[in-house]
Amino acid sequence: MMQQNMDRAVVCRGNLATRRRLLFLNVIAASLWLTVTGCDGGEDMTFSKGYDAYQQGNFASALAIWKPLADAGDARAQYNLGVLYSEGRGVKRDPQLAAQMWRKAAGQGHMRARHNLALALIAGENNKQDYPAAIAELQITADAGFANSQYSLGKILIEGLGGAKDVVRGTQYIIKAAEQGFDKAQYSLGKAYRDGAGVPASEEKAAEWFAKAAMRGHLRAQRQLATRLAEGLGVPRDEVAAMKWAMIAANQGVSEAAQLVEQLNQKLTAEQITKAQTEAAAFIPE
Amino acid sequence: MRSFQRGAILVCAGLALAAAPGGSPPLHAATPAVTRVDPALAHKFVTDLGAQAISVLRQPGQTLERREAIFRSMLSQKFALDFIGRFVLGRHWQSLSADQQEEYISLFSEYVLSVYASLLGGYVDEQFQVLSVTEAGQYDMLVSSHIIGGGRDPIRVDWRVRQLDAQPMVIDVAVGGVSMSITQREEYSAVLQRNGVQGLLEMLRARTLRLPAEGAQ
Repeated sequence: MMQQNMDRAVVCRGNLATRRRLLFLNVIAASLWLTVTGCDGGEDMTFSKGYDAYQQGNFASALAIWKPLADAGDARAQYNLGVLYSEGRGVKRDPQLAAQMWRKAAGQGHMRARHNLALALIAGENNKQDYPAAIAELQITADAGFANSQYSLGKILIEGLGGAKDVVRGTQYIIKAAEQGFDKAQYSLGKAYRDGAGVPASEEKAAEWFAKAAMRGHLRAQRQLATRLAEGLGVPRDEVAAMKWAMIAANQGVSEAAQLVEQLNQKLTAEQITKAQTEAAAFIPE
Repeated sequence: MRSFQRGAILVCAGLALAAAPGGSPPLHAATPAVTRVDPALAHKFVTDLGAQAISVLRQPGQTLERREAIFRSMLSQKFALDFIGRFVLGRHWQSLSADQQEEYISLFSEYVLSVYASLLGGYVDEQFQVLSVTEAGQYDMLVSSHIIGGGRDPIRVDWRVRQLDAQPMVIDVAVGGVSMSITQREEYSAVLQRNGVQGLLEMLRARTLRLPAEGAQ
């Protein structure tokens, strides 16, 4: 069709008005052609408009844009619709419909949908928790490298939910997620080294992983690190650094950290407290 | 009839919550001092919370996920999450180990904050208005508000505010007249009976590890 229109434009080059009209028609035809074939990413553009609306808090618009795409089989739109239904954004909250959307997208190989579907099976918001089905999905996404899935699967295996406990294998998944920088996994790994569960006990390694999670903003890891620094457990004793981490966690409502701040307030000098306060105020999670 | 039902649910929630401070304290935290909250202070507290919510959630130049993370951090300082978490678990609290109690409070807090963040949630043209303040029990004030705009039906939200350690804190939220704490208490109790403590922790973990919407690659 494009070629035919172009040929016609060449034949009619003598008449300026006709040429302009045909040029205009050519542009329209080309646009339509490219949209139909998907060559200009028309579907991508529509999908992106939905995402822009979502980011701006216009969830009803996002829903209206993604719904036809999802109905036409777009896995990304199906996945995002699942998120809207799951969280009740721009639509009445409907966990079952969310799971249906994720199932459709997962059937097309969409990994994020597979991950969320697995978690929906565990969350059991409309049905009972289905661990065997969830584990089967998480196995795929965890092996594909999803840190969230590795962490989830690791915890399920360690606790023996839906099957026998497998602390060693579960901890291996936690290690994979921790090494990718997933803060919850780093914190769990810190506890594993502290307790010698799935890995040999090591106070030094425990402190190391708590510190990594703390740097990423994990509140309980910050509290653990503060206590360890105050006691010199697995790390050299440093009460000013302990105060810094306790202050950061206490400011986020961790009551045990607030108690540690009170204890350290009695021990440290005004200068040391000011130093800790300054460092706590300057802290930005990685 | 509907308003009676709403009132009845809130009274039930209030009675249960009023009874909570008399229970045994959390294993990992000192029991906060409870004093009666001034109605004007409760009004200002919730008004400020609503204003901050809209200001943070509409901040330009940040992703929705980032805006909500900032908002959750702000909310965590205004909600008595330890108190609410313990209340929701009720008598089951004592059967958890210290590690499980810590993990539960952490997961519960994260989940509850994400629910409130998406409830208040960064909708365009959203407005938050405090409607009234009424006494609730010996110590608390019930601050009624509604959220309008954002392309959705108006939502009535009632905030139960209590003064803990001289600070006003939210101890329950009722959406459309239904107490979140009471609803969660019933749900968690059923999960505990079916799947035990680890089943409950895993359920909460699953609800906090969902991935958000994705953009074009």
